[in-house]
Amino acid sequence: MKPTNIEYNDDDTEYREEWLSAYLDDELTEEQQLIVEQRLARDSAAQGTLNDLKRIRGLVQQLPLWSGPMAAVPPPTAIPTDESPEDRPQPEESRERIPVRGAGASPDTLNDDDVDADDSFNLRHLRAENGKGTKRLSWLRPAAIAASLLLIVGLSYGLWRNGGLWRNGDGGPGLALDRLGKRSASTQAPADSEFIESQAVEAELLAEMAALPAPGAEAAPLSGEPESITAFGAARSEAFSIESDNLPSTLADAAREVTSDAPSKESLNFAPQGPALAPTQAPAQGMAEAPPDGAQPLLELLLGNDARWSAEMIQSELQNNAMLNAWQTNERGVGLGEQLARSVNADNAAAQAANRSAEAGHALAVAQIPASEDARTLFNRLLTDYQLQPLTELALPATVDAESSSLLRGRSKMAQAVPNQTLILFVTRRQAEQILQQHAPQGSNNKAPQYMWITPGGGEVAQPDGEERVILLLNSPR
Amino acid sequence: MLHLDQQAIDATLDGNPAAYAELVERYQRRLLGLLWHACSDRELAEDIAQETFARAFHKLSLYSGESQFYTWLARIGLNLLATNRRRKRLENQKSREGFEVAVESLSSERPPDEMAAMNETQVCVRQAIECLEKERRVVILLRDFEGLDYAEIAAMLEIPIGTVRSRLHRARLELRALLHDKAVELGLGET
Repeated sequence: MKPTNIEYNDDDTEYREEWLSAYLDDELTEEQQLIVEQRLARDSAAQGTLNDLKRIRGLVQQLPLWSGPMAAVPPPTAIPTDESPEDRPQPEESRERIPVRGAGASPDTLNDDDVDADDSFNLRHLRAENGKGTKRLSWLRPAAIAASLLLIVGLSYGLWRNGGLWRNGDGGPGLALDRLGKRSASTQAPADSEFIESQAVEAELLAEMAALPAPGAEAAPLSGEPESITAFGAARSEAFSIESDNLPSTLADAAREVTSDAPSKESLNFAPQGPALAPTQAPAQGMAEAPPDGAQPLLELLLGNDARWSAEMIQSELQNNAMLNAWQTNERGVGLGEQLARSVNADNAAAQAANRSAEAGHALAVAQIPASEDARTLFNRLLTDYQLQPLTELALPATVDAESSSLLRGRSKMAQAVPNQTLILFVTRRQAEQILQQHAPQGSNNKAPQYMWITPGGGEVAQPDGEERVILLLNSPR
Repeated sequence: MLHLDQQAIDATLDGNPAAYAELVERYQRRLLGLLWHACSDRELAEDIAQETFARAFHKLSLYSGESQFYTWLARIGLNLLATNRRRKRLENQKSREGFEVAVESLSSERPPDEMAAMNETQVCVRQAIECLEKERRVVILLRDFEGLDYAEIAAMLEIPIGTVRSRLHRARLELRALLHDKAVELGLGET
């Protein structure tokens, strides 16, 4: 059947060589087809080209179909929509088919006619190719799912015990999330016993850490602003407290039970200035200036959710922060960035919140106390150059003292802590490339975890190339 | 097939995710073949196919039914492949750290049985297709390997039908030129 509804927007009366391919595929109007046939009748070169095109088409059609085991498995069994089928437009019941001109399609070639005409086409191919057909697939799928689950559990446990892939024995990414029960669904069910056992060990270590002299004795608070520490704790509490209230039997509870005798946050010197701040009261301090009105608290930024938190949660968070900081001093900003990335990738609402924040050009500074002047200068410069909004300051405690380091190394093979500063910027990918080109060591752009960007999922609107919103992690100069 | 697809889609959306397995089973081999030839990397094709089915599952409510389900699926897969290419291109602009280079080189090595599974002609054609620029490669695969018509390709790639036609023609001519050395064996006369 001729595709009479095709509009090519070109001159139908003048022969064009590319019509030969369309003629071969029966994709010309009748008028164009007539013109081509007249040309072919008098032009042997055109006839030769047509023959070659036909042969080329046949060669591509004869490319092998996929063989071997299927790696693709069905995704998780969650219902993807709340829309009823009646609300959705129904497909066409039939579709105009374009016959293939010339030599017939190879038997191995899938085309529309095959698919539409024979519902069992693919199954027939499977049977023909592997001799077992659908039976093979029927056991392969659950086997693949089971293997995937085992792999995930094994990797999760291994990462937990060994400190992750990227760093030399530091705590792995997302540890604080895990402690508070914000584990991904894929790791939640199968290995709880092992995970809880592991968590209990870490909680013991946490209790030991809590009993140690407070870190930060050698370092002064950032510009004499101890609130920034509270802000950090508050922000972190916001960020990681979302699901805890709803997970009574999580690892976080196990950790809390073990650490119930741990000193309060005041005794840890993490928040020496009075009671903890509610999310809306948390001081949002840029390294240069206060954030503009309406700046989102970190929780909203990360998770786009309402936070209900308690003194218990604050204490738990700060205790966990102590643990986190001790473990991840080496690349603490990176660790936080990874957690952020995990959040935005694991939670669609978080991803959307991150994208919204990216739209607003928010910037976070994760600075160790004391932040170096270089870090301040760079942060301020980036704020100006890229018109970013300083959201809040995440000020981390200082280096782990020698005794703690020794303890950590002995228990967890930790490396010696090295202070650093990390900036987290919500920018476009093009801006991220520019920033890294200017400020990252040569060859480390988007390679080393300290100099990389993360593209949050969940963006509903596709952005042009280079304009994708990313979260840039940048280790600032020391 | 359209009816069966819609049944499985409706069942999935009605709360029976197992119905989605029918769609996966029906189309995974076809999709894998397309992605495999489009990227020349079996492992990557498998990864992209998995991601495609996962994405499609979560976006299933957005499937309007105006095109074939497979066409919609293939579009998602090709978009993911394009994203992957863009990411790799950016990465390749910079020097790699040793570990990453080692990992990447391992993962990008073509499995020995991949080529063994094809005859000599197919190997030549595959290598020639790899040399095509991306846009032409995708169009020729969608037309000649997948058998989609021009209108479907145009809709999938969001380009005018005239562009499909010209890209396809150039792709075929370029393939002919690339296979010049094998012209006699492959039955090609004009070069």
